[in-house]
Amino acid sequence: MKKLFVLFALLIAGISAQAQADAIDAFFKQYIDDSRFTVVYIGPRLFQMFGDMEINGVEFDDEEDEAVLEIAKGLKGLRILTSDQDVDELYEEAMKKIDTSDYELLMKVRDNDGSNLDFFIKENGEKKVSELFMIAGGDGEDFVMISFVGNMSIDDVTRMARGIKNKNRY
Amino acid sequence: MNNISQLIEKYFQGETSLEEEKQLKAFFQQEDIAPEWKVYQPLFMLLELEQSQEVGRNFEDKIYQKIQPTQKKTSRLFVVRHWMGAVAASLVLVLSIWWLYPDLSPEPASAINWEQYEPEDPKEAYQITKDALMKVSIELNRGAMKAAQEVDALQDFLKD
Amino acid sequence: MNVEAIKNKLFRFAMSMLRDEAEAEDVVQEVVIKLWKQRDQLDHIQNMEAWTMRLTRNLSIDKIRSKHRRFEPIDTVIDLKESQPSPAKQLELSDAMEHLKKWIVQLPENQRLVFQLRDIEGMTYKEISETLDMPLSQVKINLFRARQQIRAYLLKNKLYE
Repeated sequence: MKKLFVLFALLIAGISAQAQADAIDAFFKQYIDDSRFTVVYIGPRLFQMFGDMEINGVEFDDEEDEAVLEIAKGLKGLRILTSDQDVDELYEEAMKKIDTSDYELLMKVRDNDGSNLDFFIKENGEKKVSELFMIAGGDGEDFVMISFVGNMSIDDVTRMARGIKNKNRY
Repeated sequence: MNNISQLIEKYFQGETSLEEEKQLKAFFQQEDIAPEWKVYQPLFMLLELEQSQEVGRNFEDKIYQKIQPTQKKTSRLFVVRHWMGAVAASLVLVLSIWWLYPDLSPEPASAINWEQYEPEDPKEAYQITKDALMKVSIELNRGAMKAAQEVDALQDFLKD
Repeated sequence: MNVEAIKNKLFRFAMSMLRDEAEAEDVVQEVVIKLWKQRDQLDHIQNMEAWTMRLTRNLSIDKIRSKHRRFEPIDTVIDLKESQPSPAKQLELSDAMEHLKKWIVQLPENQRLVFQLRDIEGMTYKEISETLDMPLSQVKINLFRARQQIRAYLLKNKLYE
């Protein structure tokens, strides 16, 4: 476990990057009015409102929600881009657009059925901002890009994972 | 004993069976060999010795590393044996990202007016955020699981 | 197909051609990786072991060719000359084995490989024939010649008695 951690730490330390907008931003510029895409953006203003929701009568009652709230506190931006058309083409295009000097490949999964899943991370300037960015596409599935720019703590994510595990049991 | 003489003769005539050749090798492993046969001892001892020569240690590790050339930097991940370990790995992955660089600067300016894509309802925004976090978390785990399954399959293949 | 069981055999076979541990290991790794990558298409192969041995052989030959290297590395040849014992000199058993090993290296390639596969790896004539792509009769002849030469060498030099 420790070993793994060190390895990933090394992996991350090896990144050099320049501040730019996130990966989706870079990719989406050319598709702004393209009707093939469904776009969702959630900015800092909304993230900050999550905390007040409980006060306004929304109930957060499980570990999962707690974790999400904690993580949201540190988020600056969430962008989701999906399309159910031209999935392969868009995936290829997006992969081309990602500047590998800016991003580090974290994980790559190729399925036999032709689906692709890639995770990238980005470090910004003096080891400050990180972006976690997922891209998925392939046969019979939607093209999906999700990018988080933000700041989370260990405890948050652990809690979130625990929440998911519990949920899956039922 | 006569038998050995015959076997040696048969051997050099190329007429021994594999079983007989094994007997010869075994016979010459002992220390006290009759003088007339001693001259052949280096040969049969050598055959036995050479048979035990093995590839270096870390052979499997090196294969794991070579088998995932596209993942050079993360290839050690593939040494994680247990799928639990892999799930843990994906968590450590996420954790280490934010743990190492907790500081945050403002988002850089964009050519796109992203706010037009914001949902109006905070509840909806919350649900979207939650779903996105789940999706990423699940996919990270799935990826790590897949990696671990690949390792297991490879290990079965190597060890059988 | 049991890679764990066969890897050392492949390694020794590669060693007999390359005489370099690192290179031989590289070759075996390449073989195993090839097997792994084609694991779904391996079912139709009749004799897996002979097939992997043949692959090992081909890759070893590729390696030798890519280096434009002669089959006998020069240092081995020099070594051999220096290591010729004077007939009168009696050697320890381990030294005698060492001398014999170096001498075997200079046997003609086909003899040496057949000898290696039969007497060290314990393969059947049929397996050797498949591995080396050599008719059965040639396998037997090469083995006979190799053993005859080795016998003559032992009797002449009496490395150990």
